[in-house]
Amino acid sequence: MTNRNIERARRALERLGQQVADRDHDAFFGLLAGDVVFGYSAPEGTPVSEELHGKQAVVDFTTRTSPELVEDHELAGPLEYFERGDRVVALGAESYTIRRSGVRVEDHEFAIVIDFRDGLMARMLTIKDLTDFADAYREG
Amino acid sequence: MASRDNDRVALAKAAYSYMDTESPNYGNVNTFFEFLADDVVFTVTCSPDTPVYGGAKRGKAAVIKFFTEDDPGVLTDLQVDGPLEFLGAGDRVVVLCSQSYTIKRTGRRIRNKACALVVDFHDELITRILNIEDLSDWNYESRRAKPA
Repeated sequence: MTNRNIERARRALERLGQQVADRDHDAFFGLLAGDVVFGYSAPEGTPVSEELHGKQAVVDFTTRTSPELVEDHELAGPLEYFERGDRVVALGAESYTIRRSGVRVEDHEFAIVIDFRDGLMARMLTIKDLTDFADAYREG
Repeated sequence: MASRDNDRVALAKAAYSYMDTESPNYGNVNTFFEFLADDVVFTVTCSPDTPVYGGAKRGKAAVIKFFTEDDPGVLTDLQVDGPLEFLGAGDRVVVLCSQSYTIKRTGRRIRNKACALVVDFHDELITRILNIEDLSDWNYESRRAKPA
């Protein structure tokens, strides 16, 4: 079992290095548990504040919602992986443009915490600074 | 390699025992300072112009000042939510935690903020800490007018 979850995480997340329009999401979607919980370390009142529950919700977010929120997403190099039991953490840095404000976020570090269950991703939490995103999309 | 990973995790656990609610060191940040290299660099993932947290803190004295003066100067009632988790590989350890705190300026309580601390070691001392965390609430509150 050692490092197998890292390889699964690597397959799921390698799509992040591709442009949104060209991404092959199959590897990512194929590794989602049916009852997956997906979320961001986001403040209240933004389009990513609430956790998503279930595989279809994550598919819908990935293919429809996310492309409407940000564009020109790029990774600043390969991800770095850490594993402990059924948990994998992926570290990386990314750049993207926030559609509503036009602000370009450059080389922002992030951590993705993935909990595996029976070889599938049961929980994903992305931790990163969302100040620019919240400024653009915060309600009220 | 596994032995080295475990050694680094053990060091990180000792260094961050001040955040472990079940440790006798809980709340004693001086324990953490003992693990800092003289040329340690501490960075929070935020824009450089973010009040208090923006820009790298370079050197042991600057990091100690941040933890003893700057951070406590703007936040209060800091609470660690649950146990810390340590994942290590080579000379790097990722510490996962969640914290709640009150922003002094506006009195707003921020709850259950997830954080990933990326800690690099060299010769059993911490040379680099990257604090990956969402600071949008802090940025928003620091720009608000102070409540009457």
